[in-house]
Amino acid sequence: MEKLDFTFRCSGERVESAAVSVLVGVVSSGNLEVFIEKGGDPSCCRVEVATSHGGFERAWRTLFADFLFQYDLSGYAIWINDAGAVPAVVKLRLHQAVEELMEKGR
Amino acid sequence: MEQWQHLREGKRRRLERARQIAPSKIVRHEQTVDLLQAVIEKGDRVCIEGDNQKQADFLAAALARCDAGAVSDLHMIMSSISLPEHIALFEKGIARTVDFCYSAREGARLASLVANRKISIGAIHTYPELYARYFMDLTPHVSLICADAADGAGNLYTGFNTEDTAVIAEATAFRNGVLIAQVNEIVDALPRTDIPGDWVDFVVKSPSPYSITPLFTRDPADLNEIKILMAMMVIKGIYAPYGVRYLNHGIGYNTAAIELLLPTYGEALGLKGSICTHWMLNPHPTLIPAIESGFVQAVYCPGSEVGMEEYIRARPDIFFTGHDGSMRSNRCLAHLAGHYALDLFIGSTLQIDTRGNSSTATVGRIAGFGGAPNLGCDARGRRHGSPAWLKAGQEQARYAKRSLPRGRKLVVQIVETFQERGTPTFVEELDAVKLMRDMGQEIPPVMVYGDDVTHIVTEEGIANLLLCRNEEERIQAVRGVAGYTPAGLRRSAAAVGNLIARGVITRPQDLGIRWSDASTDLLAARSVRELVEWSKGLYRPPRQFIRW
Amino acid sequence: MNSRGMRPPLYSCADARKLLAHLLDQGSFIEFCGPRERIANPHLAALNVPMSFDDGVAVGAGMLNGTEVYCAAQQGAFIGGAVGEIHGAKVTGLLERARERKPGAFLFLIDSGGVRLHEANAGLIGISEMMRALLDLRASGVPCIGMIGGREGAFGGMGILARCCDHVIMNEHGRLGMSGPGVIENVMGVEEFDAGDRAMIWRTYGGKHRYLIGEADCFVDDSLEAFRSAAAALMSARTQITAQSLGAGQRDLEGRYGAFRACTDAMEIWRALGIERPEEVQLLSTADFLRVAAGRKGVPAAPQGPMEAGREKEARSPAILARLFPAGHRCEVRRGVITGRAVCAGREIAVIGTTNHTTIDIPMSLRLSAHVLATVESAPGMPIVMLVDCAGQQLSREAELLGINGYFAHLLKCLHHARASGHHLVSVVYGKALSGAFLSFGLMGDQVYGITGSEVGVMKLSAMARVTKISERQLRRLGETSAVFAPGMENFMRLGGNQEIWTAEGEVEDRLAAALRVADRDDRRRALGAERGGRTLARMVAEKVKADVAREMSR
Repeated sequence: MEKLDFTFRCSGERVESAAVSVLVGVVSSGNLEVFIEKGGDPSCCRVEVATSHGGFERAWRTLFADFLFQYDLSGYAIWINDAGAVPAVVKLRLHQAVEELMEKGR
Repeated sequence: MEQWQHLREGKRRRLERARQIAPSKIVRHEQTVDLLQAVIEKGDRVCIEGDNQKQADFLAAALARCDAGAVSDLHMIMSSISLPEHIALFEKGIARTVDFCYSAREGARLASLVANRKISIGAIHTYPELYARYFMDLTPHVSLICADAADGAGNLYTGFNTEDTAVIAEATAFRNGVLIAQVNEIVDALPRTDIPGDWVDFVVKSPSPYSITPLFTRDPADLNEIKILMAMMVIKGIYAPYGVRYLNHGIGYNTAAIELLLPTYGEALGLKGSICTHWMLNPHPTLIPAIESGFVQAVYCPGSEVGMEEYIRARPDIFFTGHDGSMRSNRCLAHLAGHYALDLFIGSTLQIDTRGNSSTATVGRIAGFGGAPNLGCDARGRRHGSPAWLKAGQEQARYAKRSLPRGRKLVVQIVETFQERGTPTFVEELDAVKLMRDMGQEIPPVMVYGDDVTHIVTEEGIANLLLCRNEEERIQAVRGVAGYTPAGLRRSAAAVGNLIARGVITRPQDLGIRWSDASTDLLAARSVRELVEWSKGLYRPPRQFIRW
Repeated sequence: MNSRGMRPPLYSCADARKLLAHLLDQGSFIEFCGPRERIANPHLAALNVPMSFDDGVAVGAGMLNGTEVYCAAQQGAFIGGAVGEIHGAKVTGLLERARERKPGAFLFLIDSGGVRLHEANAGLIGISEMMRALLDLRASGVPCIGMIGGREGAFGGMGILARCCDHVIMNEHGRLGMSGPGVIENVMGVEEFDAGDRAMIWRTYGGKHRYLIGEADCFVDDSLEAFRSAAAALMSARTQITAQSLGAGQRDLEGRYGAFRACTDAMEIWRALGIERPEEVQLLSTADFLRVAAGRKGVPAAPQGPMEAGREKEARSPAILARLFPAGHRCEVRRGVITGRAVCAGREIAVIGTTNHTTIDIPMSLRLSAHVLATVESAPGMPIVMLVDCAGQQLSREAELLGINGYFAHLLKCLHHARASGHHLVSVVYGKALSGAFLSFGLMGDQVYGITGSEVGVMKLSAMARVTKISERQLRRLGETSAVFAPGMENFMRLGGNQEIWTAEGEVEDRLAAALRVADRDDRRRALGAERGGRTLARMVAEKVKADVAREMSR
């Protein structure tokens, strides 16, 4: 398993939610689960990835940087268990998680 | 012998030898090898019928059993190389040269034949291109075809899967070639005559029915959310704004997802009647919900699909059917329609370079193309207008120097930025270029040329290449939808930002698509089971698709 | 279809939490020991397999038409919904707590291939713990409803467990069985079972067939609403495990075996049940199928012919009998099955068991259950000693057609009934004790003892390597430090799976006598595993679930 740990300064649309946490996706071949939880440093977003497919740190970092440029998740932590998802699936799950969070915010 | 009768004399000579083995038109299957050895002469051009669907498999096997001393140096003309027997012809030295279109299943063995100099490849064609050459320089001396049934006079009934039979028979029969047909059964009265008996020289009832693959069946249960997301983008970002009504879908899960979203997402967007009304398409089971919900008005089929027979028979307003009720398909005519009368072709590929060229050829496999190159190109001979064709032409005219109004076919490539095993789809150079060098060909096996492509769709967004002002912009537009592949990571953020602002690149959020809506629950059918329900029990899936 | 084109979800396509959200009254689901705990799974990490924050199962409570229910939903997409240490402990903890709090029902949304091989020993014991807890919960008056409608189905230990529920609800996508098609093809060859023939797979294991032969009580559409209303209707229909119900069950199962054992395809069974066009059954809609099935479901009345070939007694009695019962025994040994009476420490006891590394088939299972029932009837309170030497269950398409998992569940129910009626169950493993066959009786003991040299586990490392796609070398290396997956009596011991190991030489007779004096009837395996350091998470997780129930449900 490769563990990746990033911390990002966010910009973009602020994610407001009444929900404490959200879980989307299931860990299975080519798929992943994304768990987003409130808590931690309110000035940034911490991301922790555990992946069975090592060697893609740059792609992960760029993808999160793009995503957290679009959405402000300061004060949240993102936890990921990954079984070799391609970036398309990672991005889809992140968007689904944020959409679910924002829906619960209403 | 008169000076103008060489071909006729050749046929007479062949038939005379054959009559000693088979005095009548109907030949016992045990005599097939002898018949072929009598009819075929050294160096003949021989066509074996067989495409990605039906196969004259019994006759192919018989030819492969011939004595290489009696039958040799043949020049094979065939739509597909897809049976082990096809490969055996070259391994045994019965045949030496081939002109073909497609070789998916045997692609790796074909590559090794080339490497071992057991085969000489003339060219890899697109289907209608090879049909054209039947009437120019590659007319067969002997053709081995297949049909569902024959009567005693040799009239043939080709059922739902006429496919290539008509064009092969026409080319062979009218240039003094010998036409031999394998049939599943011999009957007193045919439901319908597809090939007149006086074109046919011999008929063999094969011990088992010809093999046919349900190649176009895609189980909706295997569709993932990314395919659904991209299908939503295609419907909302391309079909709706252009008003695409006449179209073809390449084979694959991406296009199956589009078909399955028409009655749900398409309906919710109010698009029924204004998009996807007329199709040139094999009868995809995934099209059933769109037909049943009234989206589709007509479908012309190059071939059939196993299990769809009763459904098609019950929907004569949609499909082209004979007086007997069964469907008539014709791949040659379908490709003619596909070339000249479509607003749009959309298909998938394995590799795209930064200029938008695409190919399914990978190193170590010679796959060929089937129909995509013909469908996936602009038909410059077209002169009739349709709204989608004219709008695409107007867009292109903005930056291309054109003094007169013209239309343009929409040619869309739909791919995920990575293949399932993590291989990037976007590359700086196609494998096809290396393959060209390895095979000693003059041109690389490119499926669709970049200058024919109008749109590239990935999970990142849609790149509208018609709106690019120059080559540099086109390259950035391709990189801009190439995501986190190495080719994508080399994009210029500023240039891509500008393309997004100008609407050259459209992302899901720009189209107002919610990512959470990209759910399997948006599919009109989530399983083959639901397709059966949509068809009111008329669709009878082959048993490998029965997962309930 | 809603305004955006979205259709109502299907049971077969929804994941665990989506299922729960739709099956229960809106917004009523409260999850216990949920993903927020992020309990790390060290067993998967050691094999470089990604873990999941919920270990593949969601457990919690909610309302069904206003009645409180507890529920567990397995996440089939995560390692096939298979049961590992944490996964099993979450369910068992909830089953145990439900016994005290008595919700209106326990809903078990099963979607699992059985034991998770990456932690095979823990999974096997975990499923056994679930089985005992579930049967105890039933006995306490809470109906347990099993639902099978996902992509993984219910196989192996989960196939047995499903049939321990009061009711089983299935759709046509769900599959229920013991050994999956892949396993049978792998071991017995493609002639026995072509695992690529999907239509045959569903004819053998699918909901329609299971409903027709009586292995599923309720057959419904693939909609969540259909499952929901079926569950609501069954909630009030509690069934009890009694001598009468088990006697009737025994007769039904014997009848099914007698009537259909010569059938090689489900269509033959359906024809025998009076269905005129069996080849059409798979394509029928739910409503049409239920019409066709009405009045035809079940078994023709009388079994035909003898139950087993080779009825004669085996001449040589297994050595274990003489060693355990030097004072004498009257045990019959036929086709690998031991049944009878013996004397131990001056007391008469009942004996059931297997010998010769046998693989258990349907008639053998029936004989074991018949002997248990006869003991309960004729000798109230007599201890039952279970002698375990079996290499597994019969791997065949015919056994699966008849629902061999249902026969094993019946055996378990008989043993549960014996325990509940005051019989002490003591298991002695003296040869092989592998996978499903071990689950079906040996692991049901109040205490399990092992004789040194016995081979205990789920499957050989070589087979495990093939299934998990992890090299045998890596498995072997890890097996040296971890007790959790590699076969072996010592490993089982560390996990709390058995009480003690008896040396082959010496006083097994005295040890058995001592074992029969143990008065404890509670399932102590979790605690033992934690104390011995081989299985520390299970206890912690089960306690966490119980604490969550206490906290959340008192609000």
